[in-house]
Amino acid sequence: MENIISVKDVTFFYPGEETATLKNVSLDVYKGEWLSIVGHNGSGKSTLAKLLNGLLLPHEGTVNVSDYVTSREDDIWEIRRQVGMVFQNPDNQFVGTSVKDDIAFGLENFGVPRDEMIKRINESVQRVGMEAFLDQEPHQLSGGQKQRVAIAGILAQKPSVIVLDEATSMLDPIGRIEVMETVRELNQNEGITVISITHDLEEALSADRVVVMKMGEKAAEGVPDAIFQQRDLLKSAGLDLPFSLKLSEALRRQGVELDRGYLTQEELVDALWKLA
Amino acid sequence: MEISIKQLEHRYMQGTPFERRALHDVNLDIPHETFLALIGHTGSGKSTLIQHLNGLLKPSAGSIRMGETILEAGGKKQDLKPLRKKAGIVFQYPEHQLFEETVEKDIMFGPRNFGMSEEEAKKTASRVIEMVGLPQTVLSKSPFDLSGGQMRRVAIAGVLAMKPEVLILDEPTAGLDPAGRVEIMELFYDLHQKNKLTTVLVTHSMEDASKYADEIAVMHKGELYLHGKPREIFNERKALQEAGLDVPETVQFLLKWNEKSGQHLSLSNFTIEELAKSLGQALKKRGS
Repeated sequence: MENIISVKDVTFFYPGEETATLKNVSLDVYKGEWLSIVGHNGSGKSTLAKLLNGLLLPHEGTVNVSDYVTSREDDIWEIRRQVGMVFQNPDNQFVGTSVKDDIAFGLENFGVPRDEMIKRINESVQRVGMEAFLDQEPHQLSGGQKQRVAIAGILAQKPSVIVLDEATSMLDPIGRIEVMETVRELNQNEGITVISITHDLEEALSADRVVVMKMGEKAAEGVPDAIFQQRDLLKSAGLDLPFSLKLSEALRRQGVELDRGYLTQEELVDALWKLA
Repeated sequence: MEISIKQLEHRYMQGTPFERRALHDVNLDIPHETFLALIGHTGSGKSTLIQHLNGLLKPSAGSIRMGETILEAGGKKQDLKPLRKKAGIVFQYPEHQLFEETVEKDIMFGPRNFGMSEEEAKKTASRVIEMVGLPQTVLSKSPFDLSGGQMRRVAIAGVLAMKPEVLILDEPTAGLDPAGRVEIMELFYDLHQKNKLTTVLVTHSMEDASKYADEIAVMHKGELYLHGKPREIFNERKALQEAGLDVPETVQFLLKWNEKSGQHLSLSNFTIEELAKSLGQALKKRGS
């Protein structure tokens, strides 16, 4: 599979800190995949995210985005255009006074001509389903809508990767679903690579691959099926088990003879039905 | 402390073209020592409601009785200090409100403001830091050198230092990892029981609401939409979905099973163990 991002032997310190926030982390991100990065608070996952588009630079090692390197100053704008970030707090990333202005802001920074700008703004709001809100002010939008505008701002730059840094953790359940469905469509229909830093295990379950971070190191990497069967690993990384796995275990304790732990409710209902 | 809310209405920016009614005709009694979960979609009015509970917002109509204190629309200006001492609010992301040079000073700030002596405030800081599960050595550190999870505990310690009788928690676990979430909720539940507090928890987590709450109040469009015991509330899946909410995962699973099997199982509580037990028994019955 083709790499879109390669992180090689990266070590990172915050100024004044004695211990490294990231220790010798290597990671390949494949083109078009949905990669979830999970881990406890302080495991280094958000720091890792900020290294991916050069908001932070590694002290050792390299971060490559296709043919570009984050440590090369001439490459940084192209990297930031290709790798868009959506952060946690919807209120901290709205810069314009209307949806339209907010998306235009990013394009102005890249010197996109006006006609082209208008075209891209209209396209990108449609792709996140916010076309009815073009002239709305930020305070009239819900958290989920603000995050969708942030995503539209990224789309207008024609990115190849979207990084979600706990982008749904401050949203209510409906806002969360709104944002995740928007991103899922972009991933599936347009082939945009998604890297999602999350505490939401149900979300990680539907990823193509999962990376587990623990104390600044990469503790595991693999498909959800393999990762979520490793209960000790998850526990030690401050994570919980997904609901259906916990229920599978509890059912076994009740003497129900399940052949394995199931990851989704549908699979588990079917397995129980066959036992009955 | 008993809380009694009567015909509460709140209008933001009253008398201006931007006037907006955020609460309407809310009637809610919260008996002493109740653990109440307050749930609702964003913009449903839950944050507006809890800001009335320590006088940060004043009713546009109706009244709130908090123990001895009555807050009512058009009421005379009163000294709210006694109320604010008794009703502690842990806001969302409380660590953003830390500001002092050391953790100890930050925790002492509230008590000192309410007239506690320096010496006593120090003792209090040392007591509450233990309550939130941090070592004494943290007291001399700058709050900004701590991890996010530790900072949140310090912020919570600052609220506990006031010895509140009512604890109002606005999504206290937002942004924490799953292990941290359980720890913080267990901490509050333990305090609630040991100190016989009245607790109001604003949450998006139906799991937390079902696990800890004696009662659940659901807000929708500025009104009190449902109120009852968890098992009553979680019987109302349609109504919850209309309010942009849903039942806990255990109930979702049970409904899927009932649909598939044609059985009519129900739960007496909403833990995974209870669900497993009830499914286990149902399977045995069918097998025999």
